[in-house]
Amino acid sequence: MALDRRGFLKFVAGGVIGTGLTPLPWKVVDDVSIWTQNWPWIANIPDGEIHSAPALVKLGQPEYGIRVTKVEDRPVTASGNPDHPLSRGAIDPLAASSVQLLHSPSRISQPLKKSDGEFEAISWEQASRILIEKLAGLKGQRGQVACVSGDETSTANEILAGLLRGLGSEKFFFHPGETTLYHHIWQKLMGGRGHIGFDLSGADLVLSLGPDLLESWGNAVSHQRLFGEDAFRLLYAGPVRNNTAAVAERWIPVHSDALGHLALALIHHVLEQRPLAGKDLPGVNSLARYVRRNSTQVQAQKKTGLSQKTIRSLARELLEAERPLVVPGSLDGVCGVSGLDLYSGLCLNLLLGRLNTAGGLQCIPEPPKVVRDAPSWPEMRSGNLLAELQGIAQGSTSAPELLFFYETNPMYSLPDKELTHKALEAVPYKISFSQFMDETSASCDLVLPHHYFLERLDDAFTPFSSPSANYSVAQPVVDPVHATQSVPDLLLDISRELDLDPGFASYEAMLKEKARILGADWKKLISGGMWQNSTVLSQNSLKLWDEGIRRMLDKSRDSADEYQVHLVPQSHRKTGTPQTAIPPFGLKTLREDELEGDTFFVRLNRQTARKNGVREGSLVTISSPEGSCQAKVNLDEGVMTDAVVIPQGFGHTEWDAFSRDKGDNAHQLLGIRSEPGSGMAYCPSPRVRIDKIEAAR
Amino acid sequence: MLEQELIPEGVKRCSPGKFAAWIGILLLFVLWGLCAAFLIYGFGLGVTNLNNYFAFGLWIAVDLIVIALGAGAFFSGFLKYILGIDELKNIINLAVVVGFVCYTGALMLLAFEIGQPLRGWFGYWHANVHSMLTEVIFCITCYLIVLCIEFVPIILENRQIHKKPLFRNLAHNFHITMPLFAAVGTFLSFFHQGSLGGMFGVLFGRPFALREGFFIWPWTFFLFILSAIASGPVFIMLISAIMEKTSGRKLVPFSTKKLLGKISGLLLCIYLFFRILDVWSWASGVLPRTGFTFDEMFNQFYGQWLLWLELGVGGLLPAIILMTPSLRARSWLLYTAAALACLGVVVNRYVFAVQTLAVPVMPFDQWFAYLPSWTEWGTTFMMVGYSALVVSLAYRYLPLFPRERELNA
Amino acid sequence: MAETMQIREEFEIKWGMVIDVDKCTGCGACQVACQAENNIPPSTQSFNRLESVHWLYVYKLDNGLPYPDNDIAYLPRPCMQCGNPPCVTVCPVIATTKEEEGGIVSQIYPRCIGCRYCMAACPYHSRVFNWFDPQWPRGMDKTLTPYTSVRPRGVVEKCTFCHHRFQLAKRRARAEGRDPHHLREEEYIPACAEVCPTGAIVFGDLKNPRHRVHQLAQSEHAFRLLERLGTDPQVYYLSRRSWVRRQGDNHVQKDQQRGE
Repeated sequence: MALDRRGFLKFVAGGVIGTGLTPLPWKVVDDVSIWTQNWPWIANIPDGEIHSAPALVKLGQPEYGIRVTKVEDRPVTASGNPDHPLSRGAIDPLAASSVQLLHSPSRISQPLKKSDGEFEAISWEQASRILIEKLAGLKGQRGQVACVSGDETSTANEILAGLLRGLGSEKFFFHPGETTLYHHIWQKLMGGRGHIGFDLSGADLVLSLGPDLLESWGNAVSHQRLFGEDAFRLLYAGPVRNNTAAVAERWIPVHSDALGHLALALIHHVLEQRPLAGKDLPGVNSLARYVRRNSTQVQAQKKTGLSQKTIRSLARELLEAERPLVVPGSLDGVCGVSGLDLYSGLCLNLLLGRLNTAGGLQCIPEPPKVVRDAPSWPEMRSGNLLAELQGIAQGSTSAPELLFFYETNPMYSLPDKELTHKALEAVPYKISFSQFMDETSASCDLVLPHHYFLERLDDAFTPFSSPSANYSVAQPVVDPVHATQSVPDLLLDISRELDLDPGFASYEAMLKEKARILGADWKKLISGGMWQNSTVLSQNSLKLWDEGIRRMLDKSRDSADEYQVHLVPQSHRKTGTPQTAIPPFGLKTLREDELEGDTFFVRLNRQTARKNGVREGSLVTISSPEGSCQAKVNLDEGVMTDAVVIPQGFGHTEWDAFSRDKGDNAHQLLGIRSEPGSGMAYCPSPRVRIDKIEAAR
Repeated sequence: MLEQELIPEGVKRCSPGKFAAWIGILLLFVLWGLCAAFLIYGFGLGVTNLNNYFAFGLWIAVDLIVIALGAGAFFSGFLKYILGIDELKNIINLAVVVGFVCYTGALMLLAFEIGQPLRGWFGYWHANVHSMLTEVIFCITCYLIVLCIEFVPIILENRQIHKKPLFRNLAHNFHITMPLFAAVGTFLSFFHQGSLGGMFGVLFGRPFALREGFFIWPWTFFLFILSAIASGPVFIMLISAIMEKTSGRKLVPFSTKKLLGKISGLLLCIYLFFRILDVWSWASGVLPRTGFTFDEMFNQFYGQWLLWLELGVGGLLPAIILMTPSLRARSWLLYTAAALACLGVVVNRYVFAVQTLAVPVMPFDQWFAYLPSWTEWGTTFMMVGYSALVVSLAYRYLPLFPRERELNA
Repeated sequence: MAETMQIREEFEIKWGMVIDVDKCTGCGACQVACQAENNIPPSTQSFNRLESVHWLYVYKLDNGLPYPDNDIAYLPRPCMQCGNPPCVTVCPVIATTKEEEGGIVSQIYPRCIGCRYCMAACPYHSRVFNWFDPQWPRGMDKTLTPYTSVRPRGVVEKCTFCHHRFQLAKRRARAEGRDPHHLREEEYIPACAEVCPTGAIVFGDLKNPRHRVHQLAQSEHAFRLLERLGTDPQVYYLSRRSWVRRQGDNHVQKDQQRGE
């Protein structure tokens, strides 16, 4: 048959009907739906054996034990370790994101050297060469090598400080934080011995004077665990209904600069109702006289806005509790608390008889030192970074030639950007050991990336706020993802090259020695256990009064502030710590009223808004003498009037797309002050101004 | 063969050039839609303004609207072939074509709407007998087949095709069996028009849409049927009027149009009675039981004005006009009333598709607003362009209107 | 009410949660753990309930009063795994079912055609859609767990009470020769409940008197969200504060102030 048009049409029609009667089209359609589950660009999940390994979180404070679930050799999730006493199965959002952070786009994959303002990748041999040459050139010259460390609990500090001492420098500094401030007040000002620890598990009534105990202060996860078990009644005094106050029995609204005065007024009432309180404490009579004479309670009433009756009944509550515990500290867990606040809070505990007893303050011994030629731990803690930077910026101190940054990001997290950046930039050569391209690494001349905590052996001795001395060690959970190295081991090698033998072949040997000295079982330590010891230090040189203290109390009554609104910095673990930025999964937990696009929110109540001419959604500038931030307004009635809450953790300019350029950096609003009487350098929450930029949408 | 020879005998059509230009304009809409389709299939539905709160948006609202308005097809068929209202033969072909484009257009939008279009056939193979949407899928598919069967004889009546004896016989046989298909079409349409309403009435998590009802069918089932048959006929009539205005030719006798107007008016009155009763019973029954007041169902954007628009401007007003012979006799009033009746259905479907989802149910939840994106508009206008394309081709090459020759003599 | 559209099945086990709102500090550890456990992709945008893929969301409740009488509460909201789920009856392709012992409402990704009818039906906004394909930064896809597939664009997903952990627990029980339908309380815990630092989220079999949730769900302070709609949620909340309990449902008498 010739294929004419009709024939062709018949053929086609026949073909279609015939094919329809075969399985072919139906199979193809069915197959297509299976293809829709298996497009090549959708990530595949390789299967494997599931097991878990213990790890020690080291992403800034607090450090505690967690468990990492692995599939074959890939870590996939992090969860709590029920066997680790510091956390007992709890985990915070940052640590829960830590496995993803291992693969953060901002990880530094190999050593970097800066030439002509750009980083170029170099090998470890080259990097070590450069470092050894530089250090050899500075050996023996006093104070030319300095170090800032953000990891307060690791033995690696001994290597760093020991190296510095061997090179002729004592300029070892911990990044300012709660520990350094407590150290200054308790040890320097009050003559106390040891670390202050808080035994919340033994307390029946906890009064927080500022610290966001259940979110961002000290070992928050441990506090959360205890709170969840109804271990104690919780009262929160502070300027904002933060995460702690959201669940506390009561929120006592008090501005941050009035918390110390509240504590003094409580001291007054305690002494009134229990005249023999703290009778054996040196200086208690002078303190008692002071609070009586200086109408402390009137001061407190004026500054806190609380009635005398309220303060008196709060004092009675503390007295009626069997084991009360008062926790003074900064609002955001960093450096915003004054010596007055710490001193008066600590004294209140002392007068309530809470020193070295169950449920009270514990004076914990310092860790043993294993590097023979390193400074002691108290010596290491006594470095005052803020004062040093002030000196450099003002020209009264010369900048060191070389500066190490270990586990810290001060270009982001220090106050008074102008001053601190000026001081840091005056250092000719800066070296960072950071795992991430953070603001500090970006400003350095040499970057020698450390392993991420999941990739390394490391330890932690008594993280701040721990109730007793404790020691944890963790082995690596995964092989290094990038060409990073264990920096403590690197530094040991370099020390040897510089003829400064630290006495150990490896970091592991050092940690084993530390464990041996403590009497800890190494095998138990590396399988997620913890050594602890409840020895407390007796206080034989404690004093509650001296001239410096009196001056500190006197000067605190002056308040000349140019601006009207109290700034309240607030930290959340989900936005990271001063060392880390916002973790990938943390960003998605930020609600619409916390971050919108790239603009973050400050919170104030309607009355404050009215006074400052702003509304919900207004774009505003928050300005202090030191700097300014841009944000949108979120009306929140859980904020005191004349206060504005600013969240920490925003305003990163490096890192990755999960953190960069989101919001503004609250640290730049803080300034450095030297407190009269205590001589402590700290960054109080300033008063600020709120200026509207444009009308609310 | 000359293009001229495809045009039905005895009627005039504009020049091929002019027609090509008209088609060209329609193709621009199609092109807009194709650009949108490229983005949708290339990147995902995130390129629209649909979101987790507005899972349904413009496309679902338009689908509901065109299916409601396309009800003119089955209902005219029912009136002509089952009830024997012979005058409707003047418009029945147009009704079939409009029904065809409405239903194919709705399916076209669904190809974009569902997240996994390649799995669309699961609705047939893995059907869930409890779901109203399953009922909709099956009935609409079956009815589309019926519409195709009804369309075929119209195509076969093209001047050139009709010359072939095979096709002429085929067309003749189709015409004989048309009443059967009309009956089947009516039966199927009753169910899917109703189930589309049922889809929303069963949502006991959404007090705005939830309705009590009769056995498994919430009242919205019946209300959607009534509103569809009330507005469908006048929609067809309106289309014919638009075609007359744009072509400059008379196509359908005014008496037929008035008849459709009267039928719609009557049905609109019946519908409004039940719809007003429904609003009252919902406001006094469903709402207090679920803990809401009437005012809480509305905000500024999704306001009570929509309800008054639907019932008043889109309901009572056209009903009055269409029921009054003297008013019905004036063409501009007739067409306005037709448009308003269609508007009433548009608002009703929009409100059920979108406002249902906008109303916050959890007390600490909030209102959001939804406006379609250009990609959603583009695909919708592509459907409109496609529909106009098919209707234009049918008008140009097929004898749609039996009275056209005599009306333009 | 359209009674006959309900599908009710009685199960021997009823997995449920009791969330103590008075203990939730709003830290967000639960949300992070859920994302990591269930291969939910990270995003370079912060949370946006209209667009973000999320299973668990922590709402911030407010008693509506001005300072200083204001009070807030944090309320984590997983899928309610309703006893009478509005979503199950409406799915045209049976991609979501409530037929497995334990009562977890399933979501079958290869079956879902993405019509989003179930999302329209759910008043809790527990269901989210994949508006785009998921993206992981290079290397971060190594942290994908084998517990649940990676969902492509165009399908709906929701909290599954970490159903994979249920499967693992049953498998373990069988391997140890125990009855997989009588698991001990600690054998099967979803990721969110496991990581919650204050222990605000408690999980277990609501019908088993040996599980804590059994007792807690009967507390006078317990409430469920939107009970009046008849969804019969398997997630209970606890609060000693009456204003929080009131915000669990809608009430017509609005003459009282919301804060009490």
